[in-house]
Amino acid sequence: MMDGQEGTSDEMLITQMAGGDEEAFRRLIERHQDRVYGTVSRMIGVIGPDVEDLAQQIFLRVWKAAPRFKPQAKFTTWLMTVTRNLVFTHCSTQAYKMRLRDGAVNPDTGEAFILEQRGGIAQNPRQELCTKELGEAVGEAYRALPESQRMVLHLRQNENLGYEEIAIIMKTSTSGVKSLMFRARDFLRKELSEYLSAPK
Amino acid sequence: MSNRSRDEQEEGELGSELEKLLASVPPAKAPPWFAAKVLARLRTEREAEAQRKWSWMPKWRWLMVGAGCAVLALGFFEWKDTTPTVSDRAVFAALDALVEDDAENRWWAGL
Repeated sequence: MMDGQEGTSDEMLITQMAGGDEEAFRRLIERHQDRVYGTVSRMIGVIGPDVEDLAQQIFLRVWKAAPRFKPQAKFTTWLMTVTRNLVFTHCSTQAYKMRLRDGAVNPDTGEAFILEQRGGIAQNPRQELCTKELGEAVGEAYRALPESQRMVLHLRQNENLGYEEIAIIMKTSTSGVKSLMFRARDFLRKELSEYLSAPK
Repeated sequence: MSNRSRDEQEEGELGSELEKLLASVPPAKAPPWFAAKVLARLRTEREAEAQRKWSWMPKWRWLMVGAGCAVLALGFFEWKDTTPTVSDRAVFAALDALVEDDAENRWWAGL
């Protein structure tokens, strides 16, 4: 990715970072923070200290790994691979599973925050309630998806990545990615059927 | 259903209705202070790492200084010089004897 204002590609910033340039690191974070933060929050299912901590860890790992970055790889693919690895490790930890089971990972908190963040326009209470309900339903459906399907869906839907790129990130084949997408779509269709019109 | 949309369905594309529904709940955005916090954490981690390095170093330094002193003390007290030595006076006496012997030989030879 090229920075329009400063004309510096991600790869150039990484090279500068490898030499210890913190300013280059700051620019790289600002460029990709929404992508990483959004992915982590989508995967973990909440917004809060956990997401921020994990997103910070991802960027710190990028900083440490900068000298080893090979320019032939696309930076965003590499970044999302790091993100995937850390998120999957986090999701497999006992603590996370316990919190998920005990309900400490509060789905309402996360999604409500998203809606608050999004809702710059004043809505009437009824509209607000509908939007909130819809947001919660979508959020719950997302959370109910297996991790790999959730990740693939997010990368395709929100990050607009191609199947080949997703396959590299997920360490699987293109057909594997398509299969995951297919299953995710089927699952979401069932889960959100009441918000979708009946199939013709 | 058109061919394109059938292909998309087969490939696992979401379909416009579901896509719109999911798009209505976009992923969260990073807070504005995020970059500053990452940089602050990087510096904190670096400082902690540097401190760990310095607290670890003196142990080794003291250990090396101690070992060096022990070696010097051992050398000072236990060193026994076994190399044979000859004093200057003995060397000059031997040389004088040689010269004298040579002069005597020359005298006998009538040189």
